[in-house]
Amino acid sequence: MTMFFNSLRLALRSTLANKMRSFLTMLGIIIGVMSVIVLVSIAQSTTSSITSAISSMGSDLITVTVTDEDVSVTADDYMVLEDYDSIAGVAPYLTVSSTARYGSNYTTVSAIGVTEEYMDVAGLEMEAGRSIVLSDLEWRTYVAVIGTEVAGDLFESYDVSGKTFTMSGHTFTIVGLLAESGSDTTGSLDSRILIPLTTAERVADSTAVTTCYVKADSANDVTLAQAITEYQMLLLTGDEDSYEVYNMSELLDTLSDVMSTLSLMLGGIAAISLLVGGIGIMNIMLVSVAERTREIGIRKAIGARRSHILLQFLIEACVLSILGGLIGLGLSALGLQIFSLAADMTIAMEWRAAIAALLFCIIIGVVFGSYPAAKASKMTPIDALQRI
Amino acid sequence: MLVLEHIYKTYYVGDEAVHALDDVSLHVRPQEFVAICGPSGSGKTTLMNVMGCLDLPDSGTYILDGIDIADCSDRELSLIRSEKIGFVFQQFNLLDSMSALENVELPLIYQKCSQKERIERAKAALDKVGLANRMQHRPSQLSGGQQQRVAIARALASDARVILADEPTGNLDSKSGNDVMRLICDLSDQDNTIVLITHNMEIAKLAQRIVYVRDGRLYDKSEEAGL
Repeated sequence: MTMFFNSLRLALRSTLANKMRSFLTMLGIIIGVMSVIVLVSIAQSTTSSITSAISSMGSDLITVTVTDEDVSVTADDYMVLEDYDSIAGVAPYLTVSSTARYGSNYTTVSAIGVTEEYMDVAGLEMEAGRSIVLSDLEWRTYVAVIGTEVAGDLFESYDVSGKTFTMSGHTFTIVGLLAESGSDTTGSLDSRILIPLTTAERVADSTAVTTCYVKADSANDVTLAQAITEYQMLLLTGDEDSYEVYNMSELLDTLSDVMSTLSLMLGGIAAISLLVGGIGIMNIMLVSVAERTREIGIRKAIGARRSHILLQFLIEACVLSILGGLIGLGLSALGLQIFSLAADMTIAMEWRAAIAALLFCIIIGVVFGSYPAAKASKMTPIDALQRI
Repeated sequence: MLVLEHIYKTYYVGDEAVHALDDVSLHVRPQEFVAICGPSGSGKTTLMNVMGCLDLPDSGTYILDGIDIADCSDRELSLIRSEKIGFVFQQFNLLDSMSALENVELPLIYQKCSQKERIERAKAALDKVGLANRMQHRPSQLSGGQQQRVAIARALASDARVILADEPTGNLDSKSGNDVMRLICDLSDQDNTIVLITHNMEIAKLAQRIVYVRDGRLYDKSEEAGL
């Protein structure tokens, strides 16, 4: 054990004695470790932010879209689905893209015509006021529940209850404000305006509702609910190519599959640069052995065993690789911080990648250090001493 | 102490065989101070390498302190070098990256001494050679004579039974050379076994016994060797 610490001290000293050379040798490892950690961390953070955005939309949610323009399905047609036990809620909705105006302010919105069940099915929360209720639907009132972004754009304030705006030639009275929900892959979720479905039908001058959310009773019922929905849609349209039924969890699975393959691939490519760094270490260790032949001879003459010499050079190689690994770890922590600030998103260091990269560094030190070390240890003292 | 019987060692330089040691037999008694004297190329350095277990003879037996070297593994040879032999080389062979103290400590590291004992013994050895005030100096900061004394301290620190000195004054001016020789004579008076290798007759005369070597053969008298 003392032997080990002596070798370690010696290795640190010789690493420090040749600062420039040691740094250049470590650079390969530093870059390798950094690329592994940074790339994998960014990939993982992006994946988790996308998947959390998707799963917040509800993995028990089934989306139905009628793609065939010739097929007309009305809101009531969807409601037959409510009779099934495995289905907790059905919310047909109709999206009308339009421009909302208030005074000189205007903003492009997607006005979504919804039923009273929509809020619950889509998992939306109210910030203030009330949501769309049954009587709004019966009376086709011109009321609206708006997202925070719309409120900001039109009124520059969240105190919007009772205010009015115009859209598609009609004046809408605001009855509620949606809670902020960020953005997903389709864009900001806070630029939505909810209006009664019946009102939307009138604005769009059509009773055909092409989209509907179906909420399964529980996560276990998703598959069954999806099958029922598909069956009912086939009955309604008579053509299985005219509609699409899909579920978020499927999308989520596919996405996380793709992303984990991607981050593995990135990690693998980065690992190649680690390997190249390891070859750099081997190269410099061979030079070091050649340079210190006389030292090896002296050490052997005064009693060093083969294993002592082997240990000395092996530890030196490991010190180079591990020190490089640690510097790389530090720099990637710093780099991720900077990247987080620049990209305005939190990117957590992927610890598994960091640990894997450091372990890889140790392996590289041992593997690429062992050949030069073995070469050094096998020198006969007489040969080593005579080569000056 | 050292018993060499019919030792042969042949080198090949290209196709030509060089008989560096040709039927060499030599007995060195404990606490004896023997000088091996001969011109360059006579095989005396090869003889020292064999005696120091740095090199193995082609044939013949070499018994060091009761151990037959031919039976030893590489590991056992390292142990013998570590515990029984102290080397003093012509070109000092100190490690430049280490202080005088650390150089003297080095053989003790391989003897697995504790750090405390190591420093104590190394300091005592440096004190003995009169370099107590130069412990933290690097070899490059010391004069040739001082460097050679550090090397002698290194040989002493390991408690070696035999000190093998190969032209210890070869790279020194006459004053430092005299200092080093005086030190070696002192060590001999303190009952160390010393084998001194030199081509300088004046220096060889300081030893209790001189053997002469020429073309790989040993002679007891200089006339026999034709010197």
